[in-house]
Formats: sequence, C-alpha cells, structure tokens
Amino acid sequence: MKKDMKELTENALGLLRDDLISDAQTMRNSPAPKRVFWKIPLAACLALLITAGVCVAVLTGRNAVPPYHGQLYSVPNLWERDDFNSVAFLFRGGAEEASASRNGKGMLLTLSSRVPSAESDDISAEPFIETEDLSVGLGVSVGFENIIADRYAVAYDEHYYPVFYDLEQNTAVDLDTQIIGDQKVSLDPLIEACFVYAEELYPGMLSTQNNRDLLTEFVYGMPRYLIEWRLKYHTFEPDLDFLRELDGFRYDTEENLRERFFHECFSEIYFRAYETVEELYRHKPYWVEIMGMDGKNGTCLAVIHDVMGNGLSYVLYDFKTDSCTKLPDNYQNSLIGMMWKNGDAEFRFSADGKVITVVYPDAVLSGGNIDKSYLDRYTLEADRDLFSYNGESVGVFYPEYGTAVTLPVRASSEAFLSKSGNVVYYKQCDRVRGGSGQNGEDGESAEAVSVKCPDELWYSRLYGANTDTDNWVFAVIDPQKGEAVTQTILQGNFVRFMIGETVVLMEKDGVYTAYELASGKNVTEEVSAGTYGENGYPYHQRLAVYEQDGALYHKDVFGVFGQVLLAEQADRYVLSDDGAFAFVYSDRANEAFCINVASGESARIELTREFLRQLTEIRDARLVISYNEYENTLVFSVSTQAKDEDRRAELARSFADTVLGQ
Amino acid sequence: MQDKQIIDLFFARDESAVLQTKQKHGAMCFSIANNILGDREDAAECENDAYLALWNAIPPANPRNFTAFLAKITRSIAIKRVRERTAKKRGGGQTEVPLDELINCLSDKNDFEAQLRAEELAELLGSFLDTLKRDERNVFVCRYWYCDSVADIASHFGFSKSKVKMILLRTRDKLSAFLVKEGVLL
Repeated sequence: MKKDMKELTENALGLLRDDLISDAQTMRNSPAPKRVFWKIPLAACLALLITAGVCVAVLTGRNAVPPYHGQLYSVPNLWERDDFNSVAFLFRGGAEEASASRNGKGMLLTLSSRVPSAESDDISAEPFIETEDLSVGLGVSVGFENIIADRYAVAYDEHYYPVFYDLEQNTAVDLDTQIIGDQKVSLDPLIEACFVYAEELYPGMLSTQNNRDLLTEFVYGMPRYLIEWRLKYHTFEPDLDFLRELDGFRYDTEENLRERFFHECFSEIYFRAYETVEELYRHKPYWVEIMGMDGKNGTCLAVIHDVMGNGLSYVLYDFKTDSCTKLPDNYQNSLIGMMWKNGDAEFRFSADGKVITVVYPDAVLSGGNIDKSYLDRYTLEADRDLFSYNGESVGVFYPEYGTAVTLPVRASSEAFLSKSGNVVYYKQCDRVRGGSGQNGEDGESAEAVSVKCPDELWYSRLYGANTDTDNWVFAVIDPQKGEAVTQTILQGNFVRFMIGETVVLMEKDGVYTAYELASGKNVTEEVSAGTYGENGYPYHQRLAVYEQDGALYHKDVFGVFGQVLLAEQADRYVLSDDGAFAFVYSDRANEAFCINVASGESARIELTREFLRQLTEIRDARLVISYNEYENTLVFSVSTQAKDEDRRAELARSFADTVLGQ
Repeated sequence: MQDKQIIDLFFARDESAVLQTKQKHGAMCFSIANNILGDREDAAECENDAYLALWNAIPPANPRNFTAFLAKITRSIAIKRVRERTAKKRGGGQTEVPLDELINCLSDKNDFEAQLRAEELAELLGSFLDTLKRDERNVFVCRYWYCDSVADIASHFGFSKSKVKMILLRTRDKLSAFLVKEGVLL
C-alpha cells in the first residue's frame, strides 16, 4: 500500500500546476534575501544583554502573601543547548509567561494564561511556543524586550534594530522601511551612510538604481557579495575608462577590472560608513529606539536617530495597520518622558520648551508651564510628571487638569511624590551651588565656587545641591487650582512612608517618628498603638527588614514586634515592594530561603552558589527565574498556591520538564 | 532571450532553440536532474534528454509557461531514470528522501482513498498550496518537487536550515489535515 501511495504522490507531484512550479523556480533563481552578518556587534550585544539583562519576574498580586512552597528546577548548560544565546524574560498581562530567545528564535515559556485567584490554584505549564525565525533578514535577534497588546513581541537584533513579532500570526513584522508621512525613510543607518560615502568618494556612481541596489546588497550580504554581484553583473556598466585611471585598478581583463572595482570601492565605502555608524552607536546606542508601547491599542512610539545629522524624528507605529505616523515637527527633540497608565502609554513632550504636551493614544493634551530650560531631572511618580530644576525648584504636571505647579524652593534634586501625586516632598538644602549659576544662601556664584572648590562644584552640578539639612519640605497641592495649599517642614534622615497622606513616618538615626502632615504634630503614640486614622494602615508597611551581623531581622518600625527572621548568614536578600516577602541568600551556607515576613514562615531551598547574583527584584513569591552565569544554568523556582503538595510539585515539574525537554 | 522567442525558434525548427534553452534554463534543468539522480553525469545526460524531449514536444505543444513545461519534462525524465536504476538495484538518488518524508507524514495514520487518481491529488495539492504563504509554498515546492536539499533551500531563501525544517514540518502537518478534511486521507 505504501508503495502505491508513494507512486500516486510522485505522479501527483508531477502534475503540479505550472504557476506553482515556475514561482518556486523564480525563487530558486533569485539571490538570497539580505542578511546581516556582523559577528562582532552580535557578540558585543550578547555580552551587553547577558550583563545587563537577565530580567527577573515581576509579578502582580501584591496583596496576597502566600506562604512560599518552592520548587526549584534548573536548565543546565544553556550555551550548549542549541545555541541558546540569550536569556531574557518578560511577563505580560499579569499571566506568567516568560520569553527567551535562542539563535534568532523566540520562545515563550508559558506558565499560565490566567491570573490565579484565591479560588484557583491552576498554574499550568504549557509547551514552549517556538516562534519563527525572528531575524527576518535583519540579523539574529538577541532577546525579547517587551510584549505589547498581548500579541506583539519586540526583539532587537545585534544592531539594536527592532524586530516585531506577531505572536498570533506567528510572523515577523518587517520594519525595514516605512512610509512616514510622505517620506520614505530607510531605517538602516549603514545603508544611508554608505550612500553618503559613495557619493563623496565616487560622485555619480550611485546615479542609477542598479548601482544603488548593488551597494545595498553589498552591505547586507558582504560575504556573498561576489555571488550577488555576478548575478547582477551583466546589467552593470561602470565607467571603465575612469576606473583605469585609478591607481590599483590595472587589470588585464574587463571582468577582473569590474570585479576589483566593486570589491575595492564598495569595501572602502562600507568600512567608512561602518565606522560612522559605530561612532553613532557610541553616542546613541539605538538607531531606532522604541520609546514606549501602548499595550492596549497596539501602537508604539519610536524615535529615529538620523544618521544624516537631521536630529531625531518621532513616529508612532501602529501594529494593526503596519504604518507609521510622523509626529509634528514641533515635537522634535522635545520628548521628555513617557509613562504608563492603565496599560496605555502617554508620551510627554515639551513642544516649545515650556508647555507640556501629553500625547495619549487617541488625544493630545497640553497645559502647564513647566520651564524645561533648567530641567535636570524628570521622573514619573504616582502617575504624575515630576521635574526639578538644578536644585532650585520642583515642578509637577497634572495632565488631567492641565495644570502645573512649580515650587520655587531650594531643594536637593531628589524630590518625591506621594501615592496620589498631590503631596510633593523634598529635602531642603542650606545652599545651592553650581548648575545655573544661581547663588546659594551665602551668595557665592558658580564661578566663585569653581575657583574655591572644584570637586564640590562637580558634585553640585551633578546633584544640583549639597549641604543637605534634615529638613524635609512637604507641600500639599490642589491640582485643580494648580497651587500649593500648605507647606510643612519636618525633620528626619529619611521619609519611610505615608499613611493616607495625612501622616508621614520619618526616620532619624534609626528612630521612627510619625507626624501629622497638616499640623506637623507628633502622632507616634497614636500610630504605634494602631489607633490613628479611620482605616488604620497596612500592617506590613510598618515592618522593616534588615541585616545585622549576617543575620536577618525584621521588626515593627516602632520596635513593637522585633523578631529574628533568619539566624543564618544573610549575604543578600531582596524584598517584595510591599515588604511582605523576602528572598534571602546565604553565600556561606549556600542556601536560599523564601520568607513570609509577616508570619515568619520560611522555606529553605537548596541553590547553587551565586544563584542570587542575577536576582534583582521580586514582588511575588510565585515565580522566580534567575540565571547563574557561573554555572551557565537557568533556574526556575515555582511556587503555587495549590493546597495539595503533590499537585504543586506536579505543576512545577511539568513546567520544568517543558523547559528541559527542549 | 524571452521564452516566447525561444518557443518561436522551436516552431521554426531552428536548432538554436536548444542552445538558447540551454543558456537560459540549463542550470535549472541540471539542478532538477541532479537533485533527483544524485549523479552529475546522469544529470547531464538527463538534461540533454530533456532538450530532445522538448524539441520533439514543441510543436505541436505551445506551452504558456515554458519554464514549468521544461522543468516538468526534466523532472519526469529524471524520475524515470531513478525508477530504472532502482529496478536494476543500482541505488537511488536523493529524490527518495523528500518523497519518503512526505509519504511518511501522509501515511503515518491514514491511507489514501483507494480510487483517488493522481490528477485529483495534484489538483488538491494545488488547492492546498494556494492556501499557504508564498515562502511556505515555495519552500514546499522546492523540497518536494525540485527535490532541493534543506541546505539549498535555506540558501535560496536566506533562511536558517532549522527554519526550513520547521516550515516543512508544519506544512506537511497542514497538508495531512487538509487531505483528511477533503476526504482523500482516510
């Protein structure tokens, strides 16, 4: 039967339609699509990625404080595993999906597509999703950077060239060239630079499209240049008389002359251009820099660094239509930040240096009067734009009201916002030096300080001010009016947290004191007794975890519940952002512990040495992924809320098997 | 020279038609034959046989797609040679590998419907290939019609070999599902 099937299939193939056959033949005849080939930048980028980039899980579910039941699995010898050449993780949509890439392919390690709830212990492992080749002729991808709209993975190749991958369609979106407005923009700086040098070195050489194509193909496929050149050879007609006059091009046959010409002049163009692009990269590491993603609408803001010296261009790229929209010219060079709000990106521009314009996915909002000219720090805190100016003033922009508040104060450059964004606080300074040259209290000018104390000037220029006091200024702002309602000065080395924005907890020399913001009254007694305020305050916010003599302690900040958490040597620990969970590593004991800070419950996990080296952040006990660069091992630590111990082990093992099975 | 002009030379019984065909399509004919036969000398003979067959076929034939017409003739002659060689137990060319790849996928769990004719299957194959993206379709045709190696396909398309393998695997799976749906795989 099998023989019959074979004959039937063979005969059927022989009767295949002509158009299918000739189309494939056309492809067979064509030169291979361009591929980027540089190895040195790849290695450099890999090193950069590996150094900078083993991202650790950032999970949601902060309110839950599950006891840790860790299951630990490792994927050893990554580098020997099918060129697993980068390890990068990201998480999307609150579900636990990590991604990594190897050899130009992306993988999604899926733990669960659902966010587990108290009622659900369903954290299931699903197989790897191995995407198609991400390189799409642009080079080898070195890792995912982001996933937007739960659909598009963003990777960068060795030139930090972005490659967008549609996870649903399992196809790459080629951003090689886009139409931006009416202008066709090549996003490849090397090609552009090559054209510049070609015109400079051999004026008129690129006057024909054919020659431009040849140079482009030469750049993209240098190792294959002779092959591709030969394929095009018969249509190329260089000025041979001109060539014969050039030194070093004396060859007997015309063919050799042509070949030598291309080899020499294109190589020269290429390397000069490459040096230019490298120089560009040194100052601007991205050619196309993805400034931010709109996770809801599937758009992203990209900034295009123009190798021709025309500055920056901002474009909004829409994944749905695969099109770019160039932002108005008055946005050029004026992006000062980007923030996320409920999954939507908001892009902040200072269009004329003063008025802040916020570009939402579907709206533009302008307002305020933030003077950008002296801006030395810009942050986004509590959904607000926070500015500080050379240690002389602090500004906050409230986009929903279109108002901005500038507080003309002497302050350190460090300013903060409360959770609502309506309380600004900063540490006051005795005097301000450097920066804009404005005087401090002692009347010294920047130049005068420069003569007297250059180191101090350097410091002050970096940080805007020095000579901090212990005075913290708290300004309560009415965003609708756009003005400060009250200002209160409280003393302390650090501000620990606020309780309902009415009480602030200050620490000074290890002693905690609670103050009522409006009045400055000391309310430590009421707070430590847990009777302050209508709603009290979260228990864990009062917990401090600290290491002393190698052991880990935690205690209530007022000393009420002091308790040793871990008597082992705690060489390194990280805390969840709410302080509820600690992951502790003891180098000497070569052990790790996951600890529920509030209950003191802990789980011991045997780990390889230096496991926590790459562990930088953790917000949830449920999943920790780390990479041990010394042992070349990927480590998964999975915790579930399943009540059944066996079920937990099974789920975690399933996930690990999925990884190990690849 | 355009294919139409070459055909005109055949109709005029101008022997330069063969020369022009060889100049324009010789590499293709040789590669098809060599892929199937796995022997350069046999492939060269097969190529020449194809030109002769072409000379005999045109006229009266007047192919609209000269490239495909010639490719089919070459492939047919090469496969015929493989069968003769297999009958003489002289060993097969590499056409066996891709074909087995395809057959194993299709017949892993199913059998073809008994009365199915090659023409019907060819039509279904065409319909199936129309549903694929161009790259996928051409990778499939290069592998199973032209019997190109995976490495050659990767080179032609600028893909990695693993990507070509992945495309082929997925396409075979899709084809199997398609034929089951069409009722020809039972």
